[in-house]
Amino acid sequence: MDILECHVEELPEADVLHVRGEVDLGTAPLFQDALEGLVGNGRQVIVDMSELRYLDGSGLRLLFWARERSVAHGRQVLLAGPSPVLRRLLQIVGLDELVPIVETVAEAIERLRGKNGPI
Amino acid sequence: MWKLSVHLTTALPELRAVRHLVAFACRNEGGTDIESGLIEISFGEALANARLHAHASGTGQIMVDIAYDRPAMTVSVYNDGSPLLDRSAIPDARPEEESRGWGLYVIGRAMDEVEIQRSPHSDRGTLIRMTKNFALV
Repeated sequence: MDILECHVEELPEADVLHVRGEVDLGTAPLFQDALEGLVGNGRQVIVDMSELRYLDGSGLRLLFWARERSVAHGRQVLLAGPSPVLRRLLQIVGLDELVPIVETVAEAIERLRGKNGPI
Repeated sequence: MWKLSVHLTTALPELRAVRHLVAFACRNEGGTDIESGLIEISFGEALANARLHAHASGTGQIMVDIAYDRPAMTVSVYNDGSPLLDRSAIPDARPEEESRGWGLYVIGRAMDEVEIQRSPHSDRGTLIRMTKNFALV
């Protein structure tokens, strides 16, 4: 099995980037490529972290970068399903104050619908 | 109380293997998923620092110690590359992006004790030693 697998699912509300495995120095370029393909294309981005076991500083930098770039395009990045330790890591670096963190992709989509859907 | 010393290089598969070993040892001694995960992440940052900065010109030799003295898990990374830091301060605030202080910032927040000094094994290397105490409830 690859150390990191990324695949994109296009849903009506958002592009979902499913990441599985570990983001470290060696696999960060793959994660970067996947994010670069999504942010700035005009769609909302949900990063499904439910099968992500490990994320290091190089991966955190990319999440900050993706958030900034999305915001610049009037979109947002949502993080779905991080493990308890990754959730704690996101708190340590303050990313939890900048991006919504939810339990599941379905919950992320509900958030987007609530924000952008008809009232 | 036990201690393992491992000699390895900064090649990525070796760094991953020893990082996984630390995560396994933490869980084996009763660390929670969060405690074990934070130690693995901090250790991984120290390894990444050694690869990126101390041996920037290529793969280099490092040594790690993994020591457990209930309830304290201590991991140490020794490199003999160029000095990791000009100063030994751990950042108090999250550094700007692209800063090399990021890993140390995470380490400082995730671990209970952190010590950075010149490596005792080398004239020019660096030692990072960090400890986390398991709650063991």
